[in-house]
Amino acid sequence: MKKLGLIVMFSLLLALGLWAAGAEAIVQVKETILRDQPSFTGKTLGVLKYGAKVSVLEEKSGWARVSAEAGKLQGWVHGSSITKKAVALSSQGGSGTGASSSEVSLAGKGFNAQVEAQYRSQNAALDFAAIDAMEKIRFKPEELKAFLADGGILPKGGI
Amino acid sequence: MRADSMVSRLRAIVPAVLVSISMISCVSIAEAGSGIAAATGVITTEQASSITKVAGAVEKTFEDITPEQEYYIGRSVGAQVLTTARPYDNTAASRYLNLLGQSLALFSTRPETFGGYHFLVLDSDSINAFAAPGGLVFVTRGMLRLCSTEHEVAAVLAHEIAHVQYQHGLKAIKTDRLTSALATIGTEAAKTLGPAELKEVTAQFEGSISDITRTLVNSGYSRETEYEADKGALAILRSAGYNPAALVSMLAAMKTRLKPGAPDFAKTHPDPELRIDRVRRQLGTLAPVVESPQARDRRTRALAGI
Repeated sequence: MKKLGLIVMFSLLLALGLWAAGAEAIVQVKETILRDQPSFTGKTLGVLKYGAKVSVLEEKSGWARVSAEAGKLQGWVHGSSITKKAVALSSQGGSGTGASSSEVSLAGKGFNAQVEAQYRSQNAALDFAAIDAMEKIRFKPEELKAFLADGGILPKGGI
Repeated sequence: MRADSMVSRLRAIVPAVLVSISMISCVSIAEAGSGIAAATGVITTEQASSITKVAGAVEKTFEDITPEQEYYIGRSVGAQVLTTARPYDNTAASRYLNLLGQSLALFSTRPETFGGYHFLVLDSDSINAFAAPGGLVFVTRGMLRLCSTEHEVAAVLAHEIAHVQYQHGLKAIKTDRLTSALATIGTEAAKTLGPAELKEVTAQFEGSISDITRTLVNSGYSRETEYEADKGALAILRSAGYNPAALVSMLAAMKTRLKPGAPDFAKTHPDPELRIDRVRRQLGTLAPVVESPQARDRRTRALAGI
């Protein structure tokens, strides 16, 4: 029993140590919201832009508690909005904080706005205006929560 | 006695040989190949190492595409989908579809993509739905007409969201095209491409767009890919609080309407009956699909005259 307690304590310490180390990650979507809880309806603490560097402090059911802007901001982002892979890609880029263009070396490279513009000039009949209009329709998580509730839809684990 | 010991020795050797064969097959073919050729003196060690390097470059997959690149691919695939049918100009229907679809996307394993999830009704009587990489989802009026409850509309959208979450579209890009595209991108230090590189990368972009569009509109995904999207859809419906059995009732409704050989869902998807069998097995006992009066009201209002 005593032995088990020691093992549990040791594992906890080890886990804490790993969290404290804070794995580096980078925001891989246009922008993501930093929240006070691991939930889409958590209060907004800030907005992190594409390429912003974060340290992952803790992970919990798909969410990550991160420290951003050199420790000035701390909160939860959804795991799908960040990548640890990009850190390796960015090692050849510069340092610095925030969403500088050098953070993610692959950011903006390859299939980007420039390539789309070239593709559009070669395919003038394509209706990109309709795609732009489609992207403008964006509801807030609070509106989505209300939509589900109004229809009598109750997510088991909440939103 | 002797024969017996022979047999037992063989018994010990055979599994060992099998294990070593399977271990060899784990080594990439490129490495094994160049090693053998170099050892037999067919090629020099230098040549062997350069072959290994080239083969290494071949091993690029859809996973090497960044979410930003996926976003630009998705926009152009979406523009191509719009050459098959025009957007249905109806604010109420569009609002409803986006409220429902964006709600469901929160429950996928990938709720955040580079540009987010967006839904559009296509002005077409055919029964169809498409998901472009990154989260642009298109559903025809014909498909929406087929859905008799909000749960069934949710099942259609959840299936498309699952295609996005598993990046099925990106997997349709031919490997050699992806490899040469990513090689060009990787060697270019600058963010702004020079005229020659721009031409090359745009050609690879164009090819990737047609690989995906051809799969979505003409050839369809493999059966296994569709089954995976159904499985993903069930998980999304379940955690959002929608009735997963609606996927079965939607597929059943589809089966009664699809005409074999028609240029729509029938051409690009497995027989609904096969999908129903699979989904039923994953669901166990089916609870009847019940739509709340509020959900029915808002659905009929939003999709009136669809």
